[in-house]
Order: sequence, then C-alpha cells, then structure tokens
Amino acid sequence: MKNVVTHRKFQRYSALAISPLSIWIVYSIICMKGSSFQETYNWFSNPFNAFFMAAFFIISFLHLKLGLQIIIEDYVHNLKHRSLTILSINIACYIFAGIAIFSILTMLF
Amino acid sequence: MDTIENKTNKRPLSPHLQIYKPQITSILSIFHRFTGVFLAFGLLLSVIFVFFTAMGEETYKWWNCIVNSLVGKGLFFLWLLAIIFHALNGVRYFLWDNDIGMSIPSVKWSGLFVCVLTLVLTCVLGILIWM
Repeated sequence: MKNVVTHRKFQRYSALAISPLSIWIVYSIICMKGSSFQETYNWFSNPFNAFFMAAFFIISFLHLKLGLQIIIEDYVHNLKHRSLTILSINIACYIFAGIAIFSILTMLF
Repeated sequence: MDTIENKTNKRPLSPHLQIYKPQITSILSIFHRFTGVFLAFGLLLSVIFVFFTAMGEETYKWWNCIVNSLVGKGLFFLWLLAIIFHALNGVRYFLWDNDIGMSIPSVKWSGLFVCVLTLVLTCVLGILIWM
C-alpha cells in the first residue's frame, strides 16, 4: 500500500475488525482448554467457527503487514533494504495466510 | 546516521529513542510496537497450530506437547499479556484519533489505566485458562 492515507485507514479498520474477533478467540481458548484432537477438529469443522477463524487470519495478516511496514519505514533507512524487507514481509504474510485458509478449508470439508 | 535518504534530502530521522526522556506516553508507545512484533510471531505460531490440527492426530499431539511444556505455557502467558495490552492501548489510540482524551492529564491517566487493566485482565484470564 503506497498511499499513506489508505494505509492508515486500513490499519484502523483492520484493528476495529480484529478486536471483537480476538475477544472471541481468547474466549474460545478458555472453553477449549484440555480438549482432545477430535474435539478441536470438530470445533474447526463448524462453519461458523471456520468462517470467523478465516476472517481473523486474513484481517490479522493485513494488520500485521501494515504495522510492520511502518516499523520498517521508521528504522530501516537504506531505501533498497527497506523495500526488500517490506516485500519479503508481504510475501511471507500471503504464504502464511494461504496456509491458514488451506488448513481451515481442509477441516471444513 | 549515514544513509542514502539522509544524504539526499537531509531530513531528521523520525524516532529519536535515545534523546527522549522516558514518559508514560513514550514508554507505552514503544511497548505497543514491541507487543505488535511479538504478536506477529504469535500469529505465525497459531497458523502452524491450525495447520498441524488439519494434518491429523499425530502432528496435533506433537504440537500439544510443546504447548503444554513450561516454555510453551510461559510464551502463551506473554502472548496473553501482549494481546490484551495491544488491544487496550489500541482502543486508546482509536479514541485519540477521534479527538477524545487528548489533554495531557487524561493521556497520562488513560495510560496508567491501560497498564492496570492489562495486568488485572491477564491474571484473571491466565487463572481461567490454567485452573
């Protein structure tokens, strides 16, 4: 995201979206403590849980990508290194978000 | 600092961490970034957890062993602390964006409030998870 205003807006919107989702996730962790493999797998196969988990991962990775970009821009002063670092963070985010979505879909179907 | 950007446009660098006198606002701002980076690693670990659960019972049990070890529990506690702090301080920043609580006294009080609430919530949720 090159435009600073869009960057800032998306950072705020994603923060607003993940705050209720993270409350739900901490609540789920408390409910799921000590559960077996089958119980955990069944929890993920529930379409409601799968949808919100996928949403959580996508929005979190967007928020992560935007947040780390600001930190890199503040501390990496060499422009070439800066854009390379940001590019590799972006690629890593897409790969990990992809793995998360793939895993959730495997358990859903 | 000797960098391309500084040589070309001679602008000062943004975070002057060394010359700042530590104040609650700056400390919490630094800690917000720090917990953000920490949570980034937490997010990667949770992707691995979801992936291992999807791969079957064997990898799930292997992962469970790590999570239930002392290191795993310690890291989880720090994750809980980080996510609660980052969320509460994020709400504070969101209020600032909407021009709420911007005066010097309220900025200090809200910072202190965030610290206390983070510690209380982390302890309560930690007890709920491990009791």
